Amino acid sequence: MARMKFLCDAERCIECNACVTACKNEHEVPWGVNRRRVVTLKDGEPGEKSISVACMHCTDAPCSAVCPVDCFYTTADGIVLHDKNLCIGCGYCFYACPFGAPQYPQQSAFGVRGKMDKCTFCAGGPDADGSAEERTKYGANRIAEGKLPLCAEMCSTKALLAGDGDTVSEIYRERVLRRGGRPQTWGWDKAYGAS
Amino acid sequence: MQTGKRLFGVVVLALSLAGCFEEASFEFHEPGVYKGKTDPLLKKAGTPELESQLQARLTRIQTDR
Repeated sequence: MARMKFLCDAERCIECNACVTACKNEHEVPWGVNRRRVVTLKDGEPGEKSISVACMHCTDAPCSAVCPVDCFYTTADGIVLHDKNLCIGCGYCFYACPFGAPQYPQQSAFGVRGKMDKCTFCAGGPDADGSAEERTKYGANRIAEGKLPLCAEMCSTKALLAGDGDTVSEIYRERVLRRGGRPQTWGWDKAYGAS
Repeated sequence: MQTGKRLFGVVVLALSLAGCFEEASFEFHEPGVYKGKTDPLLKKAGTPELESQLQARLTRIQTDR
């Protein structure tokens, strides 16, 4: 069975932010929330590297482990999703996530954050597939339509890969062999362990 | 007369206590188990049709040109 994973090739990412724009546009993400963002290290210096970061849909997701209302679930192909009807906006998942994926739409008096929002791997939520309710709460459900995350499909340099982990690592392995270097699968150890 | 007052008092007390009755039924949830409604995608995810569709999409769009 396929295991859905993200991989960002830091050698190819040119910090164009097309993935961020594609995500925001596809899911009509509210102001102040970025499900995906590009992080640049050593900006303007020799050896500058950019990485596109979102929820990595971890194998043993820490957000799910700390949730006091158990609003997280994982699909058969490893996509970590959550139910906004159950979320109480406590922020535990935000503190647990090593990638800073969970986001909150509002910040007002008394620490009210609103319902947590994060990357869904374009797989929507627990509402009926393609329904208006699902679209409003979670954004588009491209997986149900047989499509992969738009951020990866829009990537002009093919730096961001999303799909079956075996195929993604095979694509990356071929690239590394061509380059003649060592693979640096950023975030994979933390998100997926040894596998 | 005194007995009647006492009886009245007992009846009032019994009725007021009956108003405080609360049915003690609790719903216990297993920790770490998803509590929300079932995602229709769960049925579809992992099926050979969807997997082959996604696989074809991955190799067609995300591999180098």
